[in-house]
Amino acid sequence: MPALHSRLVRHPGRPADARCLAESSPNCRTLRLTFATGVSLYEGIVLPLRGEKITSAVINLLGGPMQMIEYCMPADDASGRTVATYGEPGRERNGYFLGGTATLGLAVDGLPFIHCHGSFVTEAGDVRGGHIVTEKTIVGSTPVTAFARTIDSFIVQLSEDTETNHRVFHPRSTSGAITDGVHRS
Amino acid sequence: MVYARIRPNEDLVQSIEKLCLAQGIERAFVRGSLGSLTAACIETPAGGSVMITGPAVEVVNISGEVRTDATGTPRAELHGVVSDANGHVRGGRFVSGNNIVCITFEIALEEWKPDSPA
Repeated sequence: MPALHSRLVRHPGRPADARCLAESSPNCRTLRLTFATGVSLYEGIVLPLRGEKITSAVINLLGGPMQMIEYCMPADDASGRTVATYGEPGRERNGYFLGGTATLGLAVDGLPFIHCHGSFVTEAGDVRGGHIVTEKTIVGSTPVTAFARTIDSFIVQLSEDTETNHRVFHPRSTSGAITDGVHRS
Repeated sequence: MVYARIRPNEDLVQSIEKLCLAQGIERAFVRGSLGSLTAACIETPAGGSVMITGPAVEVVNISGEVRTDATGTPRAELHGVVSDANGHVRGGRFVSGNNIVCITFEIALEEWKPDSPA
């Protein structure tokens, strides 16, 4: 069998010197969240954590039925601006979410932002996965549970990455501007 | 808990091991993980390996831990599920040195200190 080997990719911008950006939060709390029927994953995560003054967290999402799952898959970037982007979102009605991981942080404007990947079963019974659009993924007939591990000694915030031309989450040791409200889409 | 962003062209498995070295972590549980790879290389049940190609491959789930071996070197053992450009999923053990981060990878490690190491 020929050896399999992953290739490196030349991104549009100059690579930064530091290849791994890390911060630690020694005094995390774990919160159990329950998302009711009709609530989006975004609202289900953001609203209770905002109530606890938590802006950044790592969330383990458990499974359950969904009225709608909106998800994105990788695609070539026809503009050449990035090495990969997302294609048009897929929508799965009456799918069953199997689980996933999400990061809650702040957008550039200070509003809550969630990056989420997960897998699900389609109504036809196929297993799929990808980038979950939490604002448009809506809980179905029974509640869905998540566990949030809170971050209290740094924040996670979107910022432009000039290497990839993507806006991605970075840990930041300084506190950023926190804006009241939620993202509407 | 340690949260990190791994930049492109770094290997997922070895980056987690290097993160543990840098943070002085001997044992850790992977609390959270999401990001993209240029291609995913995972071991199959038959003992071979398979490459899932991009433009990018999404990692949708990882279960994993880091333990430090007798030489003092952290070893990450990661299993998980990836999805391709069509949303199709594959799963297996991530092969060290062959899972290159595409755009970004977020990893959250929970240090684990057992009373009596297993």
